[in-house]
Amino acid sequence: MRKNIVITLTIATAFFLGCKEEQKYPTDKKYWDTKDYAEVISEIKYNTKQDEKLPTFDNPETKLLLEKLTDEENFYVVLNDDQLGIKHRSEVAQSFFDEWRRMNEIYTMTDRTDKYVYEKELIEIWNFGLELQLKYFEIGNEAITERADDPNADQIKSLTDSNINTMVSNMTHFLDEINQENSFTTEGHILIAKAIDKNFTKLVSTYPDYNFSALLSKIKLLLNKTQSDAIRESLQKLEAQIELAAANN
Amino acid sequence: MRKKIFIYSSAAVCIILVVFLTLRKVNFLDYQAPVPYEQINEITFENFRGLEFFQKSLYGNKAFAYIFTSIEYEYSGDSLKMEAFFHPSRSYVYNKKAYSNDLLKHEMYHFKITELHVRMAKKQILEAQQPTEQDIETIVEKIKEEEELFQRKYDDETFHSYVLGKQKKYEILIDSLLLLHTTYTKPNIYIK
Repeated sequence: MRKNIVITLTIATAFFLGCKEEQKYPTDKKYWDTKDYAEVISEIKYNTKQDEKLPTFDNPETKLLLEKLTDEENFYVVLNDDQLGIKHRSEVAQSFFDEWRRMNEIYTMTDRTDKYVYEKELIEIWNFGLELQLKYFEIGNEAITERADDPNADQIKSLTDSNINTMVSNMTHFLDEINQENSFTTEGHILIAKAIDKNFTKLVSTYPDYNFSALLSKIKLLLNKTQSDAIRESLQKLEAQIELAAANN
Repeated sequence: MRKKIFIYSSAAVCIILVVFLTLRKVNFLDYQAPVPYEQINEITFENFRGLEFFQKSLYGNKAFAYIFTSIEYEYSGDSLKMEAFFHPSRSYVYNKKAYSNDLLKHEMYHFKITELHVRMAKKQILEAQQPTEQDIETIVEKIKEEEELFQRKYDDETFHSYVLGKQKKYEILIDSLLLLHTTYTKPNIYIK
């Protein structure tokens, strides 16, 4: 009989404490904020054992997680919301940028043949970062201009130009990967080419007056070096776009 | 003897369960009667008196609230009285002293959506040719379903007010629609 009482009380207790089991990752959440990124990145970084496979696109159980992690809508929904103040957006952009830098360290491992183990994940995270940086620096410069007494003052112009220099330099680092294109498969080359098409085209069209001569020199050197048709085609398109923009200035 | 103990303990557990489940639905320990829409401007988070035992956060955010509203109607001779109500003891906020205009505003627009659908129901009832009680019931049920969909869409698109641009668009839309239905503001309508 005592057993019966114990069972009854156990059922009742279980009912009272019957909270929903928390999902490990908030994949059902429509938009992830920087807090979500911080938690998910920490979970992946510190709670995946050394010999375990990291979450990947090709694993049906973690595909959604990777898609959420690299979904640009997560930052666009805040950074493009002009009802929000520019200072707030600038702070959020900074937080996203910080989280992206942490995220960037997760999938960099190579195997004994120097091939990236997680090339798709790595490139998609770069892609996310390239797109984020375009928005992050745009908002940063907007915030500087808004705070300035005279937005056209030389000092302000110099500050915003310096920010654009930093962004172009950051983005150019991505092209350095072409020097290690042997670490990627043909599929990886195609993804890199797509990332160039998407983000560098946007970079040049957003700042058509900027002097891209350093980037252009790098493109010319890489064109001589690359063995990938997909990357070569993308670099050629980018070269033509920069030369056209320079000719129009 | 043992059987008696079992019966008493089961009865006690059942009573506790009933009290607990009722408290989850309506906080009768801190009860406040439903508030009609005309008093919307008097509502603050102090009026959100519901209790929440299970849900500790909304998508990881502990600062959350939810509102319970309803469409109520009753017949009185030739007229029908229909109103939107806010139920304080079924609505929850993580902290009654929370100072968050954005959160309160988002919840109040849920109430406004309910009021909008009350007005839309009155419009449809008045436009019907001598509606029977069955006709009215059908209209109201349909309107309640539409309201449910509208409420869900509002929460989804604004992502519970996280997307401020969308929130503002919804506020304009709802206020405009309420204005368009000003004719149906009074609770009573004549149906015969």
